[in-house]
Order: sequence, then structure tokens, then C-alpha cells
Amino acid sequence: MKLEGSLDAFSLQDVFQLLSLTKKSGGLHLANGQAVGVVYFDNGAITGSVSDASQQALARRLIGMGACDDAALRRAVERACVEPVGVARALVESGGADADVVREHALDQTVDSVFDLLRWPEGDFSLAVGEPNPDDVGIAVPAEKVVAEANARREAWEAVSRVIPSPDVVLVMPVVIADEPGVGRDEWALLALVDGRRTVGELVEVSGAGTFAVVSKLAQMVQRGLLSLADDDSTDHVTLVHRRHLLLAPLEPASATGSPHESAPEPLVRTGRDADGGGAARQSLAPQADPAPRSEPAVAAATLAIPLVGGAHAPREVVPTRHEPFLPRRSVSHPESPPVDAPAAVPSADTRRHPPAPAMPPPGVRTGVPAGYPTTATGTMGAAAAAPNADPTIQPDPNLNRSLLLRLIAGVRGL
Amino acid sequence: MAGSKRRRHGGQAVKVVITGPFAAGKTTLIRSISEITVLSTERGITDETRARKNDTTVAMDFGRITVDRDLVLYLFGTPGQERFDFMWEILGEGMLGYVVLLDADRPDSLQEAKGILDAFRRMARVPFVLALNRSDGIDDVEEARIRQTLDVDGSVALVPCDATDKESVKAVLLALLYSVLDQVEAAPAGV
Repeated sequence: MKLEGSLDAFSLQDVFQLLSLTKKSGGLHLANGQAVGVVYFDNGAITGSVSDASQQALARRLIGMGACDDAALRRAVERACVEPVGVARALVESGGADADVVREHALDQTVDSVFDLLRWPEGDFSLAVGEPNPDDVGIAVPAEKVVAEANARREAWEAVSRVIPSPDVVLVMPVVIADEPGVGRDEWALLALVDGRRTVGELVEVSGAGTFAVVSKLAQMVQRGLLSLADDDSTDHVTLVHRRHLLLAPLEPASATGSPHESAPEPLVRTGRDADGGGAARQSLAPQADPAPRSEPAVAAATLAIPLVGGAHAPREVVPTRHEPFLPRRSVSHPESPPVDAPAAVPSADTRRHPPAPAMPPPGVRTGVPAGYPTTATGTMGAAAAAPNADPTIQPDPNLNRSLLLRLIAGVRGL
Repeated sequence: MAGSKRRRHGGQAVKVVITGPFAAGKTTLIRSISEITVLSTERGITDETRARKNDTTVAMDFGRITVDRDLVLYLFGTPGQERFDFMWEILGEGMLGYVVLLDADRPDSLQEAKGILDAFRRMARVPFVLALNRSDGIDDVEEARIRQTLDVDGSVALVPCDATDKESVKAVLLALLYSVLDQVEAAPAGV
């Protein structure tokens, strides 16, 4: 069996609806140029999703959140290299990561990647029936719930992208802020990563918390004045302080020795992109071989610079350099899926309270009984009800009501 | 699973199944009224049925009608060949009703239709209508023959239709929707 097509003919939401309604299991592969994403279904529910199939998205998220240590990660990667399992699942199964924590992140990762996939303007899809989710960690979310959440994020994204227009934006922490700062733990985790050099895209990468969550939080902090967008033309606070201290030199003889530029150290951390194309000169805090004597203002400025710009830590590689475990490309061969037993729906009392009203059959419809044909008095459902039908699996939908049907009728009439 | 599923931001999706014998025109019917390109997974026919058509639906047809901002009607067409009858229950789950499409040009297909209809009746307790494709009218004799063969009484609508004509397909869908409405309204309160 084959299910494939183009996203310009079928929206991703329609495809999800189809797979959900028919309780399909397998991997829905989406391709848009070089980008390849996969959404995994099990019995019509979504068990996971990646918007970039070349990466271990869930594992990256766990790493960013500090949910596993090096040894557990190494073991999981070794297993994922030789078995058809994802690193996150291997972590869970080996006890290297807490299963509940992983499931929580898996849910958010799934919504995040569907949010990414829904923003694809075009692409192709193909269902590999029965393909298991290599990172199945035990979540199964109704497709409509994932889509609703992803759509809500899409709407919120417009406002977020007005504040942070590009993943290439660099953020800095202002030294002076208007109000007393108040931040949550998640926000603190991001503030600690803002160093005046990393782009927003890099912050998303190293935090592991997903594009929407990270950029939304950063945008909120920009709006609250806790962060600001680095401007190539602006002067960072430390340089500004140096310059103004020098203006005090005529009144402070001790600071007037030598040229200001000779005595003042380089700022420990530069904000914004440096002249070398984005890389910032970063001085070590260790004593230099030939340290120049520092004037008091310079020391004061250096002291100021450490905690005020870029957080207290020196940046280092949060994500260890390594190649992703090899995931064999799935061939688009579609074995037949087994039939799925449908759960029976029981009519509720709510749908059976509508007073009878005459319904107008459309023109040309023959509902009369021809002469000579035996009749039964079983109403519209007479034929179906009279048939041998001991225990039909599919029952009338309890959610059906007169209002819904009248809307349907009006809609079809108006086509 | 309910047929009227919540969709997107609080919207609903409902589902109707189009079934019937091989080559009765199910794919054509859905194509005539669907607002999106029908996801027809058709493949070349390799057996003796090639004489009737060159391609057949091996998985399903899928059509969509946006009724209003919050309501979408999906049309699912079943594969016409028996070896795919395992799909019927999957496709039928959650449907509000179904259309059994008959072929006026092939009276012999009535027996095939009877097998399908019996299976659907065993499977689902939801309203259905009969639609006679390639027909612009049904006389009493023909109607009696169809109803007798299919064991369907006069309370089930029998609609002549042209699956290539949108207005005709609309009439079929309206007949089904009215049947479902009748069922809902006839249901005793509090049951």
C-alpha cells in the first residue's frame, strides 16, 4: 500500500487527519529540499517526530537539559550505532536517563518539530507503513492535539519573531536595567548561556529546549529589558566606562599615567560581533607573562566586566563533538498494514433529545416503496437495523446532533 | 473514535464513506466534489478485471469538503476489490454514514454490491443510501429489483446519479445527510 503526495495538494494537517482517522502506524516522511522530517504514528496517535531526521533531536534536548552524563550517553550512542534505536530510547532503557523526564521532553520535542514541519511552505510526504519510531519512549498523543498545540505556537510565533527577527541575532545582557530583575529557572538557564557572542540559533542548539520555547523565553526577556539585541554600531558598557573614567583623569593623577589605552585592559568579553568576523577576543583570567601595571579605574572596570557582560562562565562546548549515529534511509516500500480493530462508540443520551422535525429530501431521491415490494416499518435505519447485525463495531456517533447536520446540509447545498 | 472529531482550533471533522463494487465510480464521485486533489492510490490492474478499467484504487480515496470555518467533511472511498476488504472497517470507523454506489451499466455488479452492503451492515449501525451511477432515473421495476437483491426496504434512499457531475454528487450526499438527520431526530429522548 502506498500513501504519498505533495504538501501543496494536501496540507500536513489533512494528512495527519487521514492517518489519525484510519489509525495508521508507521513513519510519515516529509521532504523539503535537503530537509527531511519524520512523524511517527502508532494506531493513529503520534509517538514522536523530528523535523531534521539527520539529528538525534530528543537526545540533543536531553543533553542540553543535563538529563544524562557522559558515560550513559556514550553507552547509548554505541548501542544506537548498531541497533535500530534512538539515543534517547537507549538512554531510557539503560537507565541512563529518567524515563518520566525523557517522556516529558519527548512530548515537547514532538510538538516542537511538528510546529517546524507545519511551517514548511512545500514538500512531499510518504508513509512507510509499520515503520517503528526508533525513539519511542512511550508517548502517544492524538494527532489533533499535537496539531492544535503546534498551531497555537505558530500564532504566538508571529509576535515572537517581531522581537527576535532572526536566529542570527546576538543577545547581550544590559548592565543597567529599569526594574528589579525577576527570572525563573528556565530563564536563568538561558541567561547563563547568553555571552554576547552566541546567536539565538546557537542558544537554541546548546540549551536543548527547542526553538519555540527558547526563542519565546528570550523574546520575553528582551521585552522585560533583561536582554537586548546586540548592535554592531553600539559601544559595549565596559568600553563606555573606560572612556568616561579617562575623562576623570585630570582630577585623578594616579590614573593619568600613560595612555589610557595602554593602561586599560581589553574587556574580558566583548559584546556583539568583533572585527574578526564574529569571533570575540577573550582573555584568560590567569596572570599574563608580562602583565602591565593596572590603574585603579582599569581594575575597577575589569572587575565590573566579569559579572556584567556575558554571564559568569567562559563559553565552552556544551554539546560534545561527535557524529550522529547512522540512520539508514528508509526505502519507500509500503507493506500492507494489518487491520485495526475499531473501538465501539456508545450513543449517549445527549444526542437523542432533539424533537422530531420534518426533513426535506433532495430532489430526485426515491424513498418511496415501489408497488409489490414488501415494506417494513423500521424508519430510516430500517434496512440496516433489520439486517443480521448482532454486534456491529461501528455505532452512530454520539456527538452527532441536529445542529451539526444542518450545518453540513447547508454546506453541501452551497457547494 | 467519534466521527465528528475536533479539528484544529476547536473545529470539527466528520467523515462519510463511499463504497460499492469495483469500478462503480467511487473515485470519480469523490473527485467530482472534493476541493483538494484526491489522494487516489491507484495502480495498474493485472488481473482479469483489466477489461473494465485500467487502474483501480488499491488503498483509498480521500476527499475534503470545507463546510465552514470550523467544520470539514471528509470523504473516504473504499477499495473496490475484495482482497482489500480489510480496509473497510478501518475506513468506516467514526463515519456518520455511507454511500453504496451501484453501477447502472453493470446489473451483474449488484451481487457484488450485496456482499459489500451486507459486510457494512454487519460492521456498522449507521445510516446509508444507495446511489445508482450512470443513471438519470430509476423506474419502479428497476428499483424493486435493486431493493430486492440488496434486501433494502423503501426507507433507504435510492438516488440516481452521475458521478462525474458535481450537482448529482451533491444530491447523493444530501440524501445521506438527511438520512442521518432523520436518525438523530427519530432517536427517543434520553435513550
